[in-house]
Amino acid sequence: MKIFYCCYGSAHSSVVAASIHLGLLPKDRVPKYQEFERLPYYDKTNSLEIGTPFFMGRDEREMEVYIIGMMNQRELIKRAIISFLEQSKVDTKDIIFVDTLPLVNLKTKIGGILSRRIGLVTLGRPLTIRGIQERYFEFVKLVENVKQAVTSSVKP
Amino acid sequence: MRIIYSCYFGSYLAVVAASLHLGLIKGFDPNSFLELPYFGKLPESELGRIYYVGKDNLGREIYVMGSRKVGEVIERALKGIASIYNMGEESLIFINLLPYGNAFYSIGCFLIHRLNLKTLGTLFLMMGIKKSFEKIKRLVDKVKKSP
Repeated sequence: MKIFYCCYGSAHSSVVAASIHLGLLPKDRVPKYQEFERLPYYDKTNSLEIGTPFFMGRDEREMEVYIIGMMNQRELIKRAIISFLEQSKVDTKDIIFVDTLPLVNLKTKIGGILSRRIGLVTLGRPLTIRGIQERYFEFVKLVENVKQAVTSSVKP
Repeated sequence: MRIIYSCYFGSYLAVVAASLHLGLIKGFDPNSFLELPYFGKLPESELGRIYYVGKDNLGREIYVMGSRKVGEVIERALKGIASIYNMGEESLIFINLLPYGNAFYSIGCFLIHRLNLKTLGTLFLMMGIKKSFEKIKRLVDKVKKSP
């Protein structure tokens, strides 16, 4: 089973969701600034890497967790991946795409533009983190829903 | 080995390039273009899907795809997916024909897709393809010769 957390640039919301999934971030409290900053790929992916899937780790059930940036064409790119795999005779039933962009608020968006597109990291990064902290428990809930859905689908 | 020719809608420049690659067309001939598989026929709601056109003389599978303006993102995504599934990144060649478009071509697409003016749109579209035809042909020749 493979899970792809997808967002615009695979730098913020998908990283946070994947990290909660893998236990790199807590579920019961809002993490501090440094806890976000030290995550792999957090606010680091550059625009020439958007589209490349990055492996984040394996969860307790041996599911592979990835992050991927799809800009504002998520439906199109998901369709491309699925049809490419179908043409390669790969079973696509064990792939799950989870869209994390709807959880991104204005602060994270502006922070992301400042840091990733304009290069003002010192200004943008704290803003992205503040935005995610504000909606942190919604990320936790999303991940819990994903894990629950996966468990019920793989039950014999 | 798979080769994907891609453009905004996947059904014009990509189809012309794929057809040149497979030898379905030799020169610029609008009437024969209209008969090509998928030419002007890929639904917008299915953009991103890859369509098989045929096999070339080296046994490589040729596909077309519409990728709007995110061809490069799709190229990276598919190469990444290929390597995750152990197909090897080099099993895929992605050719983005978006830079081979021009104003005539864009106006043609706009007339056909947004204003539903098929006849007039096709006229502009063919003028656009004519302007880029030799360039596309050179590109395809290069792809055909690549190992």
